[in-house]
Amino acid sequence: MAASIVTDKLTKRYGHTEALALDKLSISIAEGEIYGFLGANGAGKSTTIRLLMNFLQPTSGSAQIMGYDSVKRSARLKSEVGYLAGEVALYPKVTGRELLDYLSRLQRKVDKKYRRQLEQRFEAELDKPIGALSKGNRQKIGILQAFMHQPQVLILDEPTSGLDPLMQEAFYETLRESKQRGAAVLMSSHNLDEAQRVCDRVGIIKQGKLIREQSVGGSLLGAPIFTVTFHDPSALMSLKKASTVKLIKQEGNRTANLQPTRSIAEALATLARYDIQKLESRSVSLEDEFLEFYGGEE
Amino acid sequence: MLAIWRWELRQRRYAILWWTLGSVLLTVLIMALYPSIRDKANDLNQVINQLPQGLRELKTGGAESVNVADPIAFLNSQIFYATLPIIWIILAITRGSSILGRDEQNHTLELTLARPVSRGRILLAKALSLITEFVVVGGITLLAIMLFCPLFDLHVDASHVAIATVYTAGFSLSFGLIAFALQAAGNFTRRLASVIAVIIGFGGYLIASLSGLTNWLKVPAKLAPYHYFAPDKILAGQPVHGLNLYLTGVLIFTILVSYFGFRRRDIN
Repeated sequence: MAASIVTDKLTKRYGHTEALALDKLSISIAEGEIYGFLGANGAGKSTTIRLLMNFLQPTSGSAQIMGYDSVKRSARLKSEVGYLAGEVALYPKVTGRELLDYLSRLQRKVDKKYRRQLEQRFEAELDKPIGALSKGNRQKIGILQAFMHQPQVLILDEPTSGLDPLMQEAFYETLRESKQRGAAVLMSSHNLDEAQRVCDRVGIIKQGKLIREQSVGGSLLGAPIFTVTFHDPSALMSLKKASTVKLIKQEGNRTANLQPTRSIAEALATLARYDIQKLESRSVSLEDEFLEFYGGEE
Repeated sequence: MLAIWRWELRQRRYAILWWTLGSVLLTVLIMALYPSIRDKANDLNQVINQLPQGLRELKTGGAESVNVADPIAFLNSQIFYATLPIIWIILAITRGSSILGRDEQNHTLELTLARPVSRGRILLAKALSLITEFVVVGGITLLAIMLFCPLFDLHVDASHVAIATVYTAGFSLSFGLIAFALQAAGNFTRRLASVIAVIIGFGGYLIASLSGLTNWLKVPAKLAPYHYFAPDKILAGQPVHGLNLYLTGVLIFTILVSYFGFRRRDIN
């Protein structure tokens, strides 16, 4: 499948600061792919999004959306892009309907029928001044303006922030529709369960650098992870040398998260040699992956 | 582009109404004073002409002597030299600095920038909405002046009054365009862009008007736009080459600085 969003060593330095806000980011997102962009606050997620939208000028490197350079063909490529900001800023004195009408005129190719369908799905309050709406209702209008023209590329910064669970489901449904239509989605999120649920691939960014990229349906996610508490503290010391299990995280001197390195049977056989007080099993989540890179920072 | 222009004006519709009403009422109120001022012209002329030159010029814009009974001198000193430009400069600078700056500050500019509209077109639409605002406020004020001039015995050539109003609106607007260009270029915040435009506008007014008092102000006065603003000449049907040059310069400055500054800069 062709790549809809491509960045090549995209770099951003703000003013004369030494630290790079984004350091040679190279990613590629294919048609119909939902890419989750994960990272702590200030890691560079929003900077990447703002560079793609040409709100910021890159210090070096480049980005392309649907084959158009994000700087030189910025206006052209935006007819294919739906954008939702992290903190949705709307005009407080106008109603949602007036704002959507205005943005539809700018976007030009909005299908009125689809727009109405979205308005109903999100139960958006469109006839009240936006300033009188709750954060969740403002977020709905933000989502509507991003999706109403059925874009081929969606760039979404924390899209479900402020939405109740029902509306989150409505959002996931809309996202699935866009994916089926072949839209590429770049979505930043703090909600790791959400990313694991809706994304095809995730990238973890730390201090402006992409430190890990992986498929959500890949080998690691979903693999079992054992939380084991031993009677004897020396068991953990001994297990660190075992080749059948990998120590992921240690809590105190008797409890640890362990992951099979080969097969579950071999791992259980190894553990059976020790005096176990308690054993729990669960699947590896994106959160485990994320915390492995971020340690105790978030 | 038309959609952005309409959107800007739609949001400003009540403000435009109030500014128009304010300009019209103040102008008509001043014009209504003319018959009684004319009747006491000798006394008033004596008082005004005895003022130090600098103070006199704050009101008259450089005229050596004043005869307030003369309709041209009255309109010049009471309406076109100070009252209207001062109100309109405030409007122009407030709008010029905020028409893009407020959107940027509130992050609503991103909604427009996320659409398939180039930055140049966004700038043009916003600048045109500022100009349109002045066409509405200035146009209705002009209609009021034309309507009330004969009623208050202010017999001045209507075409000269129209040209003077257009120049006054253009001159006032120029400071708004300066604030707009500085803010759009991104090197100045909304507040700083306003302060610079205020210094050029009102600072220039003081320097140009007070240059008659002190010799050392005569040279810097030539740098002040107000030095070239001569509504008395316009009302008398004389050409104002200096003012034309200044307005053309501001227009070129606005186009170049705002376009090249805004085109490739970070949105704050």
